[in-house]
Amino acid sequence: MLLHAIVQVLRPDIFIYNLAGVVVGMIIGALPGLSATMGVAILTPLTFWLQPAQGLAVLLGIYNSAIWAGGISAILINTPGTPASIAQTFDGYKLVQKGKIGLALGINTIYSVTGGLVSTIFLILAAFPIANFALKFGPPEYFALGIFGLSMMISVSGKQIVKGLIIGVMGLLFSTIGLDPMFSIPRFTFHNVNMMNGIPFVAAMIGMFGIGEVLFQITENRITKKITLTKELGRIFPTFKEFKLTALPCAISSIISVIIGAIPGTGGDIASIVCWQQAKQMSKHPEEFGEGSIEGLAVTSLANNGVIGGAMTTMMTLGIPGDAVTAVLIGSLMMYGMQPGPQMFIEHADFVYNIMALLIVGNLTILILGLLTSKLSAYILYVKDEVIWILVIGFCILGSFAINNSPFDVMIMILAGILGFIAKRMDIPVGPFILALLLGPIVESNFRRSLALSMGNHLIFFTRPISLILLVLTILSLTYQPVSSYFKRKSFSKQTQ
Amino acid sequence: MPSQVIMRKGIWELKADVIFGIFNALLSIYWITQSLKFPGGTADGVPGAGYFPILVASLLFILSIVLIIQGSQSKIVYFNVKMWSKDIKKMFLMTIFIIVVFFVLWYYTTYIIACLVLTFGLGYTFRLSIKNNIILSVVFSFGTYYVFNNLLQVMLKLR
Repeated sequence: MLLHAIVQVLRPDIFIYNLAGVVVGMIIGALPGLSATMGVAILTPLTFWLQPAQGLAVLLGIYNSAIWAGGISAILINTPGTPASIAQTFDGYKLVQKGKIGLALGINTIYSVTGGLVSTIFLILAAFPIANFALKFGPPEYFALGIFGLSMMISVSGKQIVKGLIIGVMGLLFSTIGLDPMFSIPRFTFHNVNMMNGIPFVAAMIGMFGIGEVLFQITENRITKKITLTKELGRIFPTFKEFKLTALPCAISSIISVIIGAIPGTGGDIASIVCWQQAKQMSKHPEEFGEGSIEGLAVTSLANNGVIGGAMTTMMTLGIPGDAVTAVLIGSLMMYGMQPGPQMFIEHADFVYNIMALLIVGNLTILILGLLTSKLSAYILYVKDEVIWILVIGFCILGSFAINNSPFDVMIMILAGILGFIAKRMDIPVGPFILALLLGPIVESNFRRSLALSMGNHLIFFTRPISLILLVLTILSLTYQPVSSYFKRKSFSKQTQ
Repeated sequence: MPSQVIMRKGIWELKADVIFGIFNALLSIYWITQSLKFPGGTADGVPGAGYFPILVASLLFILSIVLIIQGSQSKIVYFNVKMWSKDIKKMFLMTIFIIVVFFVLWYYTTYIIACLVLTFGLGYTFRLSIKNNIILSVVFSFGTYYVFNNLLQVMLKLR
């Protein structure tokens, strides 16, 4: 089946769409301030007219490529192109200062692709068993799973846990707009026909990640560091000795990153920092870490793409996103008429294999493109922020209008953009809002179905083992951050006394 | 992370956390009062249409109160507009103004005219050179019109 899918995605049309996605993702990823999430969100409506396989070829190309290309600006100008490439600045930029520009870019490409392929293998091996297990889930389990997914995204809000909760609950609140999922009673629609189907989530996510980001960047007065490419690139490929040196830490990092990727709410930024610290502890030369260590750059490059397979596994099998990009991808899949979750593995098994094949082909495309265009890729950094802002605003308007030919959707997009801007300025993550908007109807309908099953008895959520475990995990994920920071504060005050 | 300023708040600076908390508290009260009007649940235990919204709105109300209390004690100012330079304020307001103008023009004229005004106006606001601005505006406006209207069959008309 997988081989058949690989042949399928190598069809000229799908391959070209995938290549286009990789190129667009490369530009988006390399430009600081533009993220993979934003790229996938803006491009989603533009792929509406394509066949699902073609559309996903574009979006998965962007996802993979933007995460990899985020390392280009992290390495060349010490500014991560995407949040996932933060840890690549530790050693990448130092390597550039030492004149090893080509090697740093080569390591970024080779190890990012390795991470992407390893995590795709995990997806191939784990997805079907997990989906089979999830088929046993009933309404209480789905309700608990939805709440757990939401809590994981909120719990990574760091110190802003209350704000993370508020924006998530706000998303849940807005998800109740439209027809009631059980009795089809209009709720909060203000007698507006456009509101009957609820808030258009594609328009909302484009606004939040697109317009919100542009408005934020305008008010931030960012001074983007630009580079002058005067130095020669030098060699791109690591030597055999360098490959050997990185083999063990990379093997461990690939496992760590896949696991971190599979945990909802985490992402490449966390994975790469954890892997960097792990590799440093294991290394015979820990003093080189942060000073241009090849091991350090290799594991961080591997880790940020290594989370993709894990994140996709959780998203595809359970319908719970592993990171912000997969949260947006759920929306994209729903736009194509697919509902991520175990049923997708039965009803659209071919499509699932296509996704796996697209990830493999996309990674190999990145490898070839990345190595061939190492010097060229650096020139992306010369694109002015202002030009990007204009294009983003233009495509946000067009994209939100084009899905339903509806000015109402554009209005929602603008309002979501303003909310996204306010949230970003207040350091509130917008991911939980979009996720709640998507999960809200699932959470509500399964909540009410569960109560119907139990004749109104709320204990049903606590008497079924999987549901109980998920709810306990939800409480743990929400309380871990405040409790651990309380104990940290307590031990700090004891030390200072 | 946005450039936050930790300082004593003056009356002119927005206490963003408090305002956001009040907004959400009011929103949740509205949601609860409206939800109470929806029909109730069935005899076999299925809750009514208002059950879930009330549950969520109650949670939002509690969290809003916590945020209001936290915000009133915090010294972080997120929207210190006074610290934004004149250029930033102008750019920000012009961007919003141009988007509004774009919609008005799109409604009363055609997509191409509106889009040319949008892209050129934004380019002018962001200080692109005239040559680059004209090239970008023309290529984007006509390019997107051709792709969406002719290839994707999206009718780029508002009325």
